[in-house]
This record gives sequence, C-alpha cells and structure tokens, in this order.
Amino acid sequence: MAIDTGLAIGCSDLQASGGIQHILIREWNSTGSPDDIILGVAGAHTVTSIMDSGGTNSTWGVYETKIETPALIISGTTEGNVSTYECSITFNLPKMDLTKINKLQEFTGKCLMILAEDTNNDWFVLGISNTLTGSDGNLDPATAGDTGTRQQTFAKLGTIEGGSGAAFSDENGLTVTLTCTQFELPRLYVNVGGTSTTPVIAATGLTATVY
Amino acid sequence: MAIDKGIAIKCDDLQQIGGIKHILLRDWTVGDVVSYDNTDDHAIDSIKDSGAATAKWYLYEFKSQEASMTVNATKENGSTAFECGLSLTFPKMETKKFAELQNMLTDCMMGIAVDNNGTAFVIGASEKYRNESVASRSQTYLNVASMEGTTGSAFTDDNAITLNLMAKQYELPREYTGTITYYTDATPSADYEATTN
Repeated sequence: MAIDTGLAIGCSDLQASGGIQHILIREWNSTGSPDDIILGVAGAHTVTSIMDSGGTNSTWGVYETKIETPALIISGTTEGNVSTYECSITFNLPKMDLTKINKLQEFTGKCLMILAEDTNNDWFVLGISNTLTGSDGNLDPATAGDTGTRQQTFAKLGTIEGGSGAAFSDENGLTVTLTCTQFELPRLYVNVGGTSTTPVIAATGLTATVY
Repeated sequence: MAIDKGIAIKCDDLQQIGGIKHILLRDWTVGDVVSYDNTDDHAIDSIKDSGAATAKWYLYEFKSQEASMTVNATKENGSTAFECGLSLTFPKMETKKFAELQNMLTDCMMGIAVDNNGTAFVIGASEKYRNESVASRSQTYLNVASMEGTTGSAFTDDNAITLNLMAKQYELPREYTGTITYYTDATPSADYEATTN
C-alpha cells in the first residue's frame, strides 16, 4: 500500500470523548465449527462481518461494567521491522459476587474475540486480525474471502485484580484485563453488504447478535 | 561459474521480517520429478509426483514465531557442505501430533519453508550430487535430526515438542518459484494438504 494521501483532523475529532461504553465478548468457534469472518477490502482495515458456522450472525455476551472504568489500550512497538501491538481492554466490575466470579471463570483458557464501542460510537475489534496470524496464515477459510479458523492472535484473559477492600469506604470489586498480541492495529467493525435491513449489532439483555 | 554480477540491497530487503509462516513436508516418492532452474536463479520451478500434474504436500502448523530455517556451510578442501535445518514447535503434546511425528522417523523427505516475507525455500531437494536416474534415491533428503519435548513442571511452563529436521546438501537451498496451492479441501482442511506444480 503506497502512502498517497494524508489525514485530516476535524472539529468532531477535537470534540471526541474518552472511554468505552459497550463491551461484547465471544469465544472463537464457540459453535464448534469454523467462524465465518469477513474482512474489509485491502486498505480499509475493517471487519465487515462476524458470523458463526451458520453463516448468518454470531452470538456474543454483553459485559456491563462500572461506568468510566473501561479502557482500550494499544501499545505498539517496532523491532526488527515488525510492529507488535499489545492491545488490552480493561474494565471494573463492582461488588464481587458468585455470578460475576462464575462469568469471569469462563474466560480461563479460552480464545476470545472482543468488540468494544467507544463513546464516539466506533466499534473496535480485538482478537481478529490479518497480519502474521500464525502458521494457519488464514489459509483455511470457512468460505471464500473469510479469515482462518486457527488464528494465534486471539484475545485472552490477562489479569484479574481486586478484592473486598478493608475499610467500609473501600471499593469492593474486580478489575479485569483482557489482552491480545496482534501484528496490526485493531480493526474497526463496519458492517456492509446485505444486512442493511437488520441491526448490525442487536443487544437484548446480556446477549448481543452481531451480523 | 564466474562471478558476473553484484547484489543490490533495496528498501524492502531492509524491511524484511524474521521467521517462518508455513512449513510443508512430503516424502520423496519413486517417480518424483523436480525441475531445477539455473538460469540466472538458484531455484526449483516445479515439483511433481509420478504421472501427476502436481505433488501433494502436508502442511504442519506450529506455534507462531517458533519455527526457523537455518543454513550452515562448511568448506573442506574443495567440497562445501550445507547443513540446512528446519525447526518447529508444536504446542501441547498429544497422541495425534505424536502419531504424525512417529510417521516421519525413518522417512526421506523434502520440505518447503515459506518465510514471513513470502519466499519459499526448498530443503531436501537439491541438484548437486543428486541421483541422476531416479530422483527419489538422492541422498540429500530431509530427515528427522532430533526432537525435544517437555510437559514443563510449573503450571505456566510450556507443554510442547520441538521437531528439528536436517538436510545435508551440497548447495544452498533453492527458492521454490512454482505455484503452491494450499488446502484443497477447506472448511477446515481434514488433512492439511497443499500441492505444488
């Protein structure tokens, strides 16, 4: 890709707000069959569709968090001409209880993909990429134009920190960090194509459907 | 052969990426036809099996960033030998992987290692000192040199086995300039096949 245009900064860019407002999490190939994931055209740096083996949509968990605690962090370094992006999403769950602990326990050992919507309504994708994804190399698609099924650049549980606190005024809660090492910047989820009559991301309760 | 050209280094040479992205292996088989290209290149432009338009290969996936190809040349008197190694690590030891590794213990193989810049190198198939009449009886094949596996001891240790393959050749590895077609069966591949032609 040649560098042939620059980029502009508009008023709305300068008026952008911080933080993440929605977090959706799903396990790769959670239906037991290859996911059907379609990337945008070269240069677009998008994911245009995330579908399970049924080929229509995918089901995600909606993870509510304490407001103003979730953050998407990208740390890129270049070494030996390879750019490595350590991407993480961190969020706080107030008040430890059995339900939350059970849901967090589910992350252990899972290969995850994450959708995080910032407060400017952009959806960032972690755990789905198309650069140096491993020896599968996106060669084994479920359908033509699809990404591979055995990517090694998935997201996973990084750390969980927290506790009950000691003083009555201390916080009781857990801060969760999910991480993913990619070799390209996170892509944005921008649905295009034949699903214009259906919501791109439809959330009902703690479940979301992504097309 | 006389020295008749120099070597240029361009921007994209300096932007190279380390490591291997695909490793293909196959057994040498009676009737294999390997076409060497010496016209201003050190390449192989075709590998086909007996009577076919293609040759079938098997793709071995590995833990990302844990595969490498090495070339070590030593010259003694008038002979230069190239020990070409291919090392790859399979995470999580288990029966399916062991079965495939067990299969290759006594095999005479050839391999293609595609680096992360997209260049495919052939090891275990070389022209110098090849068998002139039956290619599959060439003795510069690729074979198992060693394996190292461990469960680790701590929970956070790696559970993996590393396979080291070696071909002793008398020329540098050649680049494969023919066509490699991956995964003929897809969704997902049952046999992890690829073909060359």
